[in-house]
Amino acid sequence: MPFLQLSDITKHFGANVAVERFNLGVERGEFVTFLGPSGCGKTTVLRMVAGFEQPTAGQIVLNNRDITTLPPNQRKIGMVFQSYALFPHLTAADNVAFGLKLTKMPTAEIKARVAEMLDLVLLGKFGGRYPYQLSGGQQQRVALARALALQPDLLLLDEPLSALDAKVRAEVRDEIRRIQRRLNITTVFVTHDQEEALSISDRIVVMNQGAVEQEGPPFEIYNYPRTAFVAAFVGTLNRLAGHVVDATQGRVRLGDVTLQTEAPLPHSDGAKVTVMMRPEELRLITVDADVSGLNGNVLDATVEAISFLGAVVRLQVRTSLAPLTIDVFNERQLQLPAVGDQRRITVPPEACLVMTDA
Amino acid sequence: MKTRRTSWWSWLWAILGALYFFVPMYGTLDFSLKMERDKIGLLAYETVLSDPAFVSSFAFSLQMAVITILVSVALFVPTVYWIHLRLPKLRPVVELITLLPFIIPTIVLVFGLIRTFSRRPFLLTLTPLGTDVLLIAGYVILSMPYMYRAVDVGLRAIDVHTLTEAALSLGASWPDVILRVIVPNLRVAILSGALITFATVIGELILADFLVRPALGPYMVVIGEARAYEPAALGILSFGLTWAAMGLIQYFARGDAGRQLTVR
Repeated sequence: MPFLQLSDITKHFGANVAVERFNLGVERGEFVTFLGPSGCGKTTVLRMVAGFEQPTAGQIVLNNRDITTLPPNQRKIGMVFQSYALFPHLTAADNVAFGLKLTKMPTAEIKARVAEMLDLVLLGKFGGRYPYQLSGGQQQRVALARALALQPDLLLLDEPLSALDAKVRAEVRDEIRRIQRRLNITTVFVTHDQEEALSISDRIVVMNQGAVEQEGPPFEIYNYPRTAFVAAFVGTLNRLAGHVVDATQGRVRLGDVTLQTEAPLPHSDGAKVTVMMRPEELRLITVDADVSGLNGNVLDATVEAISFLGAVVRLQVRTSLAPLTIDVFNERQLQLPAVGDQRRITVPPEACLVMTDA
Repeated sequence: MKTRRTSWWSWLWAILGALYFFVPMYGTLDFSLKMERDKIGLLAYETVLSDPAFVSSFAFSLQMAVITILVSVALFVPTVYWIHLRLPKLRPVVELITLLPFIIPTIVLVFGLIRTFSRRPFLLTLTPLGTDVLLIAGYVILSMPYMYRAVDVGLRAIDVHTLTEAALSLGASWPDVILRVIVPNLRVAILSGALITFATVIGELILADFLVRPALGPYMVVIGEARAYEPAALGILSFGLTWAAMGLIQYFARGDAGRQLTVR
């Protein structure tokens, strides 16, 4: 049995169904992320695991212990909140010691554990400071130390990085992962930020309307989405509507262009489909470039806008089918077109994700 | 130019307001210092402070005030906390109830208490202890608008839900949450409510008078009927006590506001 097992978890708020028959197993030491838009039920599931909400139906088992109806203070689960939730009247060290004091641990041991935890989050010298004397990132690290001090069976992170600015967010994110790996603590992380989820997780659970859309490692979620929702929610995507013209050959007609996809399609000929392509998988070439051997997957395009995003340059182009977005990795020798230039786009067959229209 | 004119008007109204408050007070102070003919002195104050009836009535009111504060805190902190946490929809109803002491005259309250608790099965007015219980209950009701609002404002200033959940996730029981997390963060709010309650109880007349208890309010009325200078001295002392209470609220609130509002 997995270390954390959620079986058929359902939660109704009056007539609203927040979570419907949610099933998930999390192995010991695993870092699992619930990813989804606002209102998809990810936080509700987390709160049911924490004990702050009672499931309408289903069972939660942690470390072979049924905790479904157990009060939150008896679950041995540490939690870090979006708003830090440090106790304003206590110093960083006293915040970390809060739970330890409740266990009647000897004072010397509490002191040692607090020092160890603050060192772990690189705040060893900040124990005497009050929350208002710490930056947002520091406060969240104290909150992490506080949650870990009791050596919980499970760590829950409820959008802990949302209130931080971009640079600090990346730092704290890496730190959370480092600490999680070092302590090998089973962790469930909730976020609506796909980049966060992709960068930090062993496994991602993409949620939509209270149910699991897809779960898997970040690489699989990003590159092999199984539903249109996952494909659209995780990463940026170009979508083109068309219909299958030859399913066995994997050919799809989009307007006046026939695209060759990677493999035979599980659709019938004539089925209406949406072809999705990641911007970074499309290639921009000059109009006189050799396109033989590209299976005809070539579109004429006019450059409409260029955005410099640092590591990536994003181009908006107009084609006969639809406007498309193309990402080009930045390098110093990069020859960028100008707005209004004519170009061609090549679409590798393996870049085409073909989804049945809903 | 506009700013200068606004500033001038502000000063004018501030000065008028100050005069409205301070001129009568100066008159009272001046009068209280002239008990001896053609001499300014503290004789009225000495007379009042050395009067055994004053000392005993003040001690009695002090005792009642402390008990009232303790009962109010024990009653309102968990109640308002629970309303914030679990029953927010009930807040408008409770707020209306807390305003009732402003609407219902104290005389109605005291007659209600006497009528209800002078007959079986709630016979309380036969003994001093029973009557004191009624007096404290009445004081708790009279101070309810202040104590409720002070605690309510304090709770609005903190993230009650998240702090509660954080404490629970760290193994705290409900009493731990209230005593170790909520109350320390309501320190200033509770102190404010307590000091206003103190001022209310110390100066209260009607409840104590109709329940025939030896409180400071009735003493002040009695002395006011028989003497001239001592009531003025008592009035100044009473103001001083209230201002000291207000000063303490300001002092403690200033330190805490810095702690809660400063975010880096």
